[in-house]
This record gives sequence, C-alpha cells and structure tokens, in this order.
Amino acid sequence: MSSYRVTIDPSLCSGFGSCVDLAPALFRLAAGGLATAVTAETSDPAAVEAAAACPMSAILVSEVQAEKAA
Amino acid sequence: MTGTVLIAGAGLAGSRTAETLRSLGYGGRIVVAGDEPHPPYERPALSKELLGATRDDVWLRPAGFWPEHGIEMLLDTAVTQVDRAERTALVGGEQTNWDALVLATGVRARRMSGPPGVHHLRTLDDALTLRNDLDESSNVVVVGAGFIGGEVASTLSGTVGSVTVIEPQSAPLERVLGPEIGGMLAARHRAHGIDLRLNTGVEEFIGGARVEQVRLTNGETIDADVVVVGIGSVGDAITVDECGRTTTPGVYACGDTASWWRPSLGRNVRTEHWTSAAGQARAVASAIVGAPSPYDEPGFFWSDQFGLRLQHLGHADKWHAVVIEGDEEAFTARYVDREGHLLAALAGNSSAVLGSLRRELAA
Repeated sequence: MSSYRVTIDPSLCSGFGSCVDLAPALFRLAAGGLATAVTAETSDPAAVEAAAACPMSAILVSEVQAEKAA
Repeated sequence: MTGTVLIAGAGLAGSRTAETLRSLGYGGRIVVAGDEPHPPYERPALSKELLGATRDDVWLRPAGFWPEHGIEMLLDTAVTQVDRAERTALVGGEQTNWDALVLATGVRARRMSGPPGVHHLRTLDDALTLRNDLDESSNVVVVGAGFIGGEVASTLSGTVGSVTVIEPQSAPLERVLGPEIGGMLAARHRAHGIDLRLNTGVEEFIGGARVEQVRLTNGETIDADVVVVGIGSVGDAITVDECGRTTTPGVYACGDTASWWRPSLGRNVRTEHWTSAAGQARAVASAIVGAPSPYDEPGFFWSDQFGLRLQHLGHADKWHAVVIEGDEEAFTARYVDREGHLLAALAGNSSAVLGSLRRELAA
C-alpha cells in the first residue's frame, strides 16, 4: 500500500477549502483561514485528489518508499 | 469498463479527464490528442513565471507519467471527421473508434494582424517566442489591460526598456471588476512605471520587416520594438449539462470550450479558469465511468500583478454595489445585488478570506 507525505505551502494556500471538501480526514482550515494537514503521512489516496483539485497548487503529495527493517 | 475514450485536447481539461478516468478505475484505452507539440502544461504560468524566466518547468506531469498510466498522449495531432453516429474519428489521419468522446479543445487568442514583433500569448510556444524576442532595451507595447495584459506588463516592468499599456476602457478590468477596483489597478500600473493609455485603442501597427510604431485611435503614435496583444479569446461554445454531457450520448465537453449548466445559477456559464477546467474534467470522467458527480462550484481565478495577488470568486455580469474593505495593499471587494446578497468577491493580497467567501457564495 502506498503511503504519502503531505505538505502545504502556506505562501500559496488561499484557504479555498477544496481539500477539506475532498479529504475531510486529512485537511482542516485553521483559525487563520488557511489549510493545514491533519497528518504528515497517510495512505489515503484522497490526498492525491485533494492536491490535484487545489486551485493554487499549494498541496504537495509525495509517495513515501516503504522503509525496510534493518 | 472497457472500450476507448478519445479526448480531443491536451490542456488541463483533457489531460485531467484522462488522469481521473484512471484514478476512478477505468481500464479501457485512453487516447489524448493535442494539437500543440508539447505535453500538458500549466497555462497560468506562461504570463507569470515562464515569461519572467523564473521557471521553465511548466509541465503538469513528468514525461513518464502518461505512459505509466496507460494514457496515449498524442502531440501535434488533430481530431477530425468526427462521426457521432458511427462513433469514429480521424486521429492524426488514423481511423479510430471511440466509445466516449471528450471535447476539450479550448479556445484561441483573439488576434490582430501586424508585422513581425506583434505577439499573442496563448500557448507555450507563444510565450517562448515572445521571451526570445525581448531584451533589456525593448520598448514593449501591451494591447489590452485585461488579466493577460496586466500580468505581462507587471512581469516585464523594470526588465525591459519601457512598457506601455493600451486599454479602450477607462480603467483596467473595468467591465469585470468595476471602476473602483479598476482605478486602483490603474494607479498600481503607473506606480510600477507603466505608461498606461486609457480610453484609446490601436489604429494600426506601423513597420515592415519589423514593427516600429503603434498608432492609436486618438492619433498618437508610440515607438514599439515588441507588441503583445491580449484582447481575449475566440472559440466555439459547446453546451453541456452539469456533468459535461452534450445532447449526443457518449459525447462530453469540458474546459474553456464548455458552456456548463450551473444548477445553482439556473443558467449555462462558460469560464476560462483553471479551477473550472479541473473540476469539470473530474465530472466528465465520473460520468464516463457511470458514477455521475455534478460540478457546480463558484468560478474562481487569480492573477498576480504589480505586487497584488488578485483572487476572484463567483460570477457577476452586473451588480448593485461594490463594498470594499481594507486598503490598496490588502483588501476585499464584495459585489452584491440590491438585497445585499454576495454575487462575486475579489480578494487582493487577502487569501485567508477566500474560504469563508466561497462558503457564503455556495450558501
């Protein structure tokens, strides 16, 4: 199963809120009106959807390679 | 689901339809045909970072993405001779059967003819050609103080010899944003060294092997080494429902060319915005896989110019009043009807208010 690292560029975020609509478990709008990621890493593919829908391209989602036990 | 989805147009709307089909589990053939020589790219960057040479990587996806997802991305390829009854088309001259056809062909720049040195800005090649034609001593004339004209003027100010902007209205974006905001934008143009000529248009471009001057309708002439024409777009409008379906079963449209049914407004609206193209593409892909998901979001676009990030929400051809809060460095403008209901809103360097404005518009 893929795992994704989710970051938001605060200089781009506009608090549009489409990420919260598409992935309410992963994003919320903070008191200042801008989006924050609830968790830094997730296996929920809704993260990818939210990044694609962000009108400001403020959400960066990168796939995390599974770490092997030493 | 099997079969072939043929997508005419490889911009954001077409390519996003293809991606979304795959993410929704569509297992059939997907063919995307675009008439430009480049894979899908971010058009909003052309008049901003690409022209300013601060960013060259404007691709929507890395080159390997399309084949990895089994998407046949055909460049320099036109879709012609569409037969809606037989469900066939010529794709780059090759006879192709389709089960679903998506028309995402976009619009073209409205053009003015002139000698070499007169540019338009719609495609990546347009932007690269323009950039290569400029140097630090160029006298640039921008025709039209709309969003493209404003962004070009803003990007070039201080990096070329001079920038003159010609606008037939009495303020930039006056028809879209009103005289109050337009007047503020005019002051910003001038504060950034732009020679802004209002209430006048282009009579003719003067020059032979190369443009030399622009004669205005008010009789004045301006020296010009490079002209950028930004006077809007032309293209056919294809009427579709809230899921992007035309009246022909199996034929869909999305993006700039789609006149999209907006249930919340009770009318069709055609928009040329990134966000609508992305949302409509999702709706079309959903309809194709048999899980319709209507798109009915307020329009949204943004523009970066003269130190302002302008973000506009909603859709208003006319309004009763504009209520402006803040100052010229950070403000919100609310476009309201007679009852005070919000029709559209503009935020200038005030991103954090957008979420609440969007919810107010959707209410």
